Amino acid sequence: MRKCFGLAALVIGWASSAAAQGALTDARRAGMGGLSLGREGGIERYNPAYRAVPARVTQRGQPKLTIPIPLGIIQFLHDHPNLSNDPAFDPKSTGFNPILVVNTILNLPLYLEVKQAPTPTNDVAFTIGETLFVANLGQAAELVPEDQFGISGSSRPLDPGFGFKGFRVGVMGWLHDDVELQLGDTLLGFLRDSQPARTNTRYSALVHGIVEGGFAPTVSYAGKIVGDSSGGLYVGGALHYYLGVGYARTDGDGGFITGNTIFGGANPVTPDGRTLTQYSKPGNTLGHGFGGDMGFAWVSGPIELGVGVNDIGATITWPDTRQDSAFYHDSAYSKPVANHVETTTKLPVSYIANVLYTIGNTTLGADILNTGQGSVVHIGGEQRLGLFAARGGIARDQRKRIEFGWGGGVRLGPVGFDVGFWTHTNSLSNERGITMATSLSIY
Amino acid sequence: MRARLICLAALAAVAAGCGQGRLIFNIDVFSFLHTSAADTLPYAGPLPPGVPDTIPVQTVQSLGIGSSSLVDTVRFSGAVDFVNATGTGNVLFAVYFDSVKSTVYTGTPAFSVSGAVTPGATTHSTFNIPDIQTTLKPLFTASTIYVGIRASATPTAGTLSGTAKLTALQARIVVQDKIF
Repeated sequence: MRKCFGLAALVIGWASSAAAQGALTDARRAGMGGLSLGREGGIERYNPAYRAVPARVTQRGQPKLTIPIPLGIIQFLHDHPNLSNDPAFDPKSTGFNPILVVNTILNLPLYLEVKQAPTPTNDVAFTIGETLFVANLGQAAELVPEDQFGISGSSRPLDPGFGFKGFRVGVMGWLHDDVELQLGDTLLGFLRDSQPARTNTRYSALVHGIVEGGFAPTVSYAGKIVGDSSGGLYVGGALHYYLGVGYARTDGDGGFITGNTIFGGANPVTPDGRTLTQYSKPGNTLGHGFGGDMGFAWVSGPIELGVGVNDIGATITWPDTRQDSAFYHDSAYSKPVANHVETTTKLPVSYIANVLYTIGNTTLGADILNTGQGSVVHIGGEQRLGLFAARGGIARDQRKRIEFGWGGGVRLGPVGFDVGFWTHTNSLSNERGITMATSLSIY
Repeated sequence: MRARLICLAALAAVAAGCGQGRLIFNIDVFSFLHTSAADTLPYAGPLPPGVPDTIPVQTVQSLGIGSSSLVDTVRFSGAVDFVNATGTGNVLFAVYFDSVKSTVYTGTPAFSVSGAVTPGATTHSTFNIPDIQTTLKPLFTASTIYVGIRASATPTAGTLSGTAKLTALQARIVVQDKIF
C-alpha cells in the first residue's frame, strides 16, 4: 500500500489532469491557452463535417508527431527522490501531506512548475460545546462547492472503419463515466456558511456515479455541398446504433445524524446512508439505442467556422438489469429490488463551435466545447516570424475560471521545438500557478 | 467531550485549513463539566481530616492531533461563584492538568482564581488567563488529558465552609499548523 500510493497518485493524477486539460501534451496548445489550430484538438471527434474539410493550405503545416519533454517529472523526482518511501505520500506516516498529494493529482508534474500555486493561509476555527459545534473554515470555506461537482467523461476510444465518396461505415467504441457529489443543505451550511451543527439533524451528500461502455456500428457521411476548391460549406452526420456491453450506476445519499448532544452521549453521531445500485454485467443482453452526430463547417478565404453536436438522442436501453438497494443506519444491509428488468441511460450531448481566421503569418482562433459538464472556451493565436512563432491565448474552464497561455517556438526543417506557459488554478488555491510546457514536433 | 468528534474536527481542519494558517479551538469546557456535575466543589477550612479538597481526577478526551503540532496559545476565561455558608476568609479555586492521572495534584496548577468570602454571601470571581505555562501546552494536543480542581479555603478566624460553583469556563486553544 505504502509503496504503491505515490505511484497511484501519479497515475490518477495523469487521468485527472488529462481530463481537465484535454490531454494537453503539446506546448503549442499550452501557449495558446489550450486552443488547437489544427485537427489534433478533437475537432473531428465532435464535428463530423470536419472529416471532409481539408487542411488549410494557407496554414503552417501541422506536425505529424508531438513529443512532450517532461521536465516536470525531472523536477518532481528531484524533489522526491524516493517516492515509494516518501512519507509525504504515505498516509500511514506522520509526515503524510495530503495537500501535496492533492496538488500532485490536480497538477500532474509532467511539465515544469515555474510558479507554484500558493495554498491558503487562513486560520480555521472550531467552536465546541456539549451541544455546540461551529466550524469556521475562513477563506477555505469558499472552496466548498455549492453546486454539484465531480468528474465525467464521454470518449470514443476506437473508431475503425472504411469509407468511399464521403460515406463511411465503421464500428465505434464508446465509454461514458460520471461521478457527481452534491452536499446537502445542512452540510453545506455547516462547512461553507459556518452554521452551528444542530442536534438530531441529518448531514449528508448526494452521490451519483455511472460507468457504461460498448460499441456502436456507425454509418456516416461528410462532404462539401457548396463551394469550390478555395472553400465551401461542408456538412457531416453520423448515425450510431449503440450496443452496450455493460453498465453500473449508483444513486444515493450518505452522511450522519447527530444525537441529542453534539459532543456528549455514547453515540454523538450515527452514520446513515442509502443507495440504489443498477447494473448490467458484460455477458448480459446487450444494451441498445440509436443516436447521432451532426455538424457543419464553412470555409471561405481566411475564415473557417464549424459547429458540431454529438450523441443526439443517445438513450441506451438495457433489457437485463439488476437493481439492489443498500441501507445503513444502525447496521448495514442490502436487498435485491429487481432483476432482469429494463432500464435506460442517456449519453451526454456534446457541442463544439470553432472559428479560425488566418491572414498572412497570423492565425487566430476560438472554440467552445461542452461535453455535458459546462463549457470550456479557448481563444488564442499564433504569429509566425520566419523560423519563430509567438503564441498567446486565454481560456475559461468548466469552473468558469480564466486561464492564460503564452509561448513560442522555433522550427528547423522537420523538427520544431516549442515552449508554452499556462496558468492554472487546479490546486486548492485561488491564486494561479504557472506551468511551462515543452515539446518537440516532427513535421 | 468525545475524542472521535474532536478528531473529526481536527481532520476537517487538516482537509480545509491548509497552508500556514492556525487551528483555533474555542471550547466551552463548562458545558461538559456542568453536565457531569463536576462544576461544583464544596470547600472547608481548616480541612477536616479525611475530607478531600479536590474533585476526582477527570479524564477528558482532548484534541488528539498528534505531537507534530505545536500549541501556540491556551487561554482560559470564566467565572467562579463562591457560595459561602459560614466563616470569613479566602478561597482559592485551582485547575490542574497532567498527562498522568496519578500526578495531577502534585504539580502546580495551570491557573487559579481566588475570592474573599463572608458569611452567607456569594462572591463572584472572574478570571482571564491569556496563556498557560509553556510546559503544559503539549498536553492539549494529546488524545487524553487529566483534569483536577482544588478548592482551598483559608479562614481568617474560626472555620470556613461553602461551595465553589464554576459558572463559566471557556478554553481557546491555538495550534500552529504543523499537522503535516
